[in-house]
Amino acid sequence: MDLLRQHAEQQFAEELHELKKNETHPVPENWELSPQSVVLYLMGGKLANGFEVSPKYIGNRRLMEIAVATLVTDRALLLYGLPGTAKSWVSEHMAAAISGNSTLIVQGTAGTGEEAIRYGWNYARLLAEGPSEGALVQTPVMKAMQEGRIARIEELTRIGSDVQDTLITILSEKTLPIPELNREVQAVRGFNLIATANNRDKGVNDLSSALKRRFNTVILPLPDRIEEEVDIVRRRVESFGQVMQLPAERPALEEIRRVVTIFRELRQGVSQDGKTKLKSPSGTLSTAEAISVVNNGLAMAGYFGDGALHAEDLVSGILGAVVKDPVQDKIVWQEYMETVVKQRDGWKDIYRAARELL
Amino acid sequence: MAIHLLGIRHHGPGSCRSVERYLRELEPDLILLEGPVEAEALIPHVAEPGMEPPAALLAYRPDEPRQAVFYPFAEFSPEWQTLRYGIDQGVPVRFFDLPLTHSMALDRDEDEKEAATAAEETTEAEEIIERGGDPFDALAEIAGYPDGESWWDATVERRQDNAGIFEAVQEAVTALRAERPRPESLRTRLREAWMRRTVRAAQKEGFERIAVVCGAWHVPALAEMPTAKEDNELLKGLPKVKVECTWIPWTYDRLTLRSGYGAGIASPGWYDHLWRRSEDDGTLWVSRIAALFRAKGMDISVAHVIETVRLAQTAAALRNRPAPSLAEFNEAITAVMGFGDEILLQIIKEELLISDRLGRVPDTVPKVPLLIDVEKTQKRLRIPFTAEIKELALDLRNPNDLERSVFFHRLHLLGIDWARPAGEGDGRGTFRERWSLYHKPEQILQIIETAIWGNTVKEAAKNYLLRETSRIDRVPELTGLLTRAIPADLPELVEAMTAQLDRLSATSTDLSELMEAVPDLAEIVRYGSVRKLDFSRMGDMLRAMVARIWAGGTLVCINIDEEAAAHMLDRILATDYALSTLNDPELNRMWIEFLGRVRTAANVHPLLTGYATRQLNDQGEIPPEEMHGTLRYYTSAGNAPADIAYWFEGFLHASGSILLLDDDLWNLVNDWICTQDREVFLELLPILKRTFSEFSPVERRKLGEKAKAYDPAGGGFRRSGPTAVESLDESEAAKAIPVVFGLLGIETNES
Repeated sequence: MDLLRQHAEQQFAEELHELKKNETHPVPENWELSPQSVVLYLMGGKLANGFEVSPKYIGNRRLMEIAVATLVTDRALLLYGLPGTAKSWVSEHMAAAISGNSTLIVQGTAGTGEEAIRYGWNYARLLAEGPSEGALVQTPVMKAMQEGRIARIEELTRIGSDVQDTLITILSEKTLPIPELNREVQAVRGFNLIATANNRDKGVNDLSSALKRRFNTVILPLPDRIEEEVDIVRRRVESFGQVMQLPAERPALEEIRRVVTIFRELRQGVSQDGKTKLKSPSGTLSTAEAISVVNNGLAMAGYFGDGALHAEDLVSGILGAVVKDPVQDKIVWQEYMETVVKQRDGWKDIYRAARELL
Repeated sequence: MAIHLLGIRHHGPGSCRSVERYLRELEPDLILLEGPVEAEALIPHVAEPGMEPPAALLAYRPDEPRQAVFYPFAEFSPEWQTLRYGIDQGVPVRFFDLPLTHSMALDRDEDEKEAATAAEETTEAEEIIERGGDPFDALAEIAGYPDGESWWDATVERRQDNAGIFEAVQEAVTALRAERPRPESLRTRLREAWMRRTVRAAQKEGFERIAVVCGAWHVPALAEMPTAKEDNELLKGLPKVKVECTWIPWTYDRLTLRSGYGAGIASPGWYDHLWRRSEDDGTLWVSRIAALFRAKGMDISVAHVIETVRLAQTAAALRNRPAPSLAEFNEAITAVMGFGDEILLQIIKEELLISDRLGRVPDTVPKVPLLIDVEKTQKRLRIPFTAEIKELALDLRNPNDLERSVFFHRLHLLGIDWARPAGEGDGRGTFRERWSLYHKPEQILQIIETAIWGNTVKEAAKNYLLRETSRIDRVPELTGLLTRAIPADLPELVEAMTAQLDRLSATSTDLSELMEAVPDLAEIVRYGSVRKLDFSRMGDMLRAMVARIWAGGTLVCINIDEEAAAHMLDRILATDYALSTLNDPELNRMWIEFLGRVRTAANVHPLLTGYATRQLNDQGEIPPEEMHGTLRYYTSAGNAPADIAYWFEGFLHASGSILLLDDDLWNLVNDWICTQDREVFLELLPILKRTFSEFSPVERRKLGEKAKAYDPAGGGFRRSGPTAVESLDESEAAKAIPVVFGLLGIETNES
């Protein structure tokens, strides 16, 4: 059967197998691999027998080391970052490498209740039998505790604060009481929790300080170098063009580079040559948004333009991504146009297109 | 008879401890220490009660103090502990590096041309450059460390068990030197030849147990002694210069790499901690950090400390390190205490990682080069210290006077208050300056204090202000300082300030701050050429600032109260004045557009709208019909009376005389008043009276006379009364003409 998408432990089963075979470091109880091998699995590299492990995370190795070290201690891990910085991706692969199972997952939403984290009831059986083992519905967290595996919670900050706090007992006492049955589930060694949260959504449901204290936090940053980011945008845009069968030509690398440059400059608040400091707009300006700007531009060029990607096709998209707050961001944008774009060689078309739009 | 070679790294607590322990076990009868022979006389100062590290041995050429070498020592420098050991145990300590008299002469010959830049190079920094990168990088690569520094740190400095460490270092460096493709530089060979010569001399004197403490790199050269003849050959006929040495107080900040010190370390505070509390497994360090955070008002619990230490230790284990290094602690602090955010580290950085420790030097040590430079400059410019107050008028067209002015400005910037500007008033545009000189003994102290910033007044002023500049976070403050820095003739500083200004002005959210800065900046751009400096960059920045005001300036004029509006009006006036003196078409255009926005934007304080309207009217930007409409709009009954008053105040701001002389403006206002209904006029009267009360009594009287002379029927002025042209006496007027010509500088035949 052709699956639309495989779990990490299915897709990379061979790599995990090879890593296990070549294990030289001590493996913590109930872990599949040693912490060193988990880092190797994430960052990629060559094994002693010449087997090539593909990189899952492209970025700073030290961050992955701190993240894995956190899971070795009994603190839970919170991966924090902007949308599109591979938080869930890293969490899935870590769970796959450590427990061999990345499916013990709870998706956090505003409607996630306590029963999704602790345990629920099968009401038909509850009515028929009363509270009993059989009527209990286990959650992924409960399963992970019993089996000594990694549980994952996505978008922790979207869950209501009262529900979030049910994690406190689980994380500090490593136990889950079930008063209805007069028993409890005590976590087996190897149990831990990886949560992800979006730091642009701060204040949605900020973690209580009691819960915060149970987590070590690792912030996953945006791509370091412009080449890296241009590459990501290019690959994604090209695959999008194929899927959507856009009539436009493939975008010139130069245009993508310009979009990425604008995003990076505004995001980082400094021009590329480092000479001019800039204000940053209120929006995220993540790589994902750069991708959608180029896609949007391609669609515009294909359906309404001459098929080739021009500055006019891009600028409206860029403007939409940058100016989220009509007053403050507009100033940021105008300043940027006047102080950077206007002076830059070969960027006159963007400047002109932008002036027309404002 | 034996020689014991102790290869060390400067400023390493681990090396330091190993050296100390080794010396105690060995009990040598002579210690040879890498250091300039000339400074040997200064060794006893180390044990004096007034001496507190960090301190630096400073060697300089008295005839050319810019050429100088610093040997900074912290308490955790192996050299310092060696000196202390020698003094405490009564063991003679000798410096055995190539004498500075030779090495500085070599420096002179090498970079005769580049001598302008101060030489704050220690021997190690030179070596690294010579060697083309840290040779320990090779070992680090094999061992899997990112660079030689961290390899050395983990394998040598952080090691608890020191047995055999110096033998191991010797072996490692010997192997490294053997594999090196390039031979050692002449300098290194000379230095090592001299070292060997000193060792031989000591052996001849009959010392039994000689301990040699030197940079690890030199160990192999001392282990394998070539014949004495070879070395003597090499050392023959070296050039010589005169060198003087002194101790000066040092700071931990200046021990860091970022201060430009070649053998610098990343975190003196951390090393200091390692030295004092070597037994600490991190608990103490993290507790100190927690205490610091608490003092800054952050809630950090004991549990945080425990978790941080555990995470740091686990991370170190994951990386196969015996104990966590500073990097692991920093990362753990970020993850556990900082909620992933590194901003927390910034808070502790200055206080803990750098540590603001300042050393002290006893009064018994000789003079600093900065003082010598001051005295030399004084002699050259014939302006000695005198006890009485002296006034000095300088003509900047005269080169000698210009130099004096620059010198005074630099001292002034350094906070040395000997020369003070006397009498403001002549702006930068003029070529005259007045100074008042008053010498007090404390000023010598000020100079010595400032000596850490550089060996010459120029260097010191530059370095000191570079530091000051980096601390400033308000734009006007910076432009203010910039106007002071320009006459001091420090192009590099001006450049750094310009860069800082650029950064600040971009992040500054307070546009009124920018407006405050624009006049200063405009003045700099305008008068910059007088000082023969290139201010094109400044011009760009001025343009950027005006562009920012143009883009967002209306926001600060919106929804503000009376007081803020008055304040803003002052700024707009100053900017207006500054830009009109510059008269740059592009700036004018932006400024006029900005004023246009102020005029038309909703909710702008009426005071500002009034002023903007008036300004645009004067520039001819508003057609007359529209002007009448605007006047009527702002004064119509829908407006609150106070708003009308403010509008008029802005519109006629400081224009009493203009109203008197400019008939167009007069007619504009007059026509409007004449078209008002009686009731409306009566309502407006108190408001208008308030506006006119701002004018001087003479202006008001004249305005009254002008109004009286106005003939509404004829649409002009009756030609009578004291202001009428007919009453002029031609012969009386002719008498004034030569004076007017003289004032205007027009040559007439009579004169």
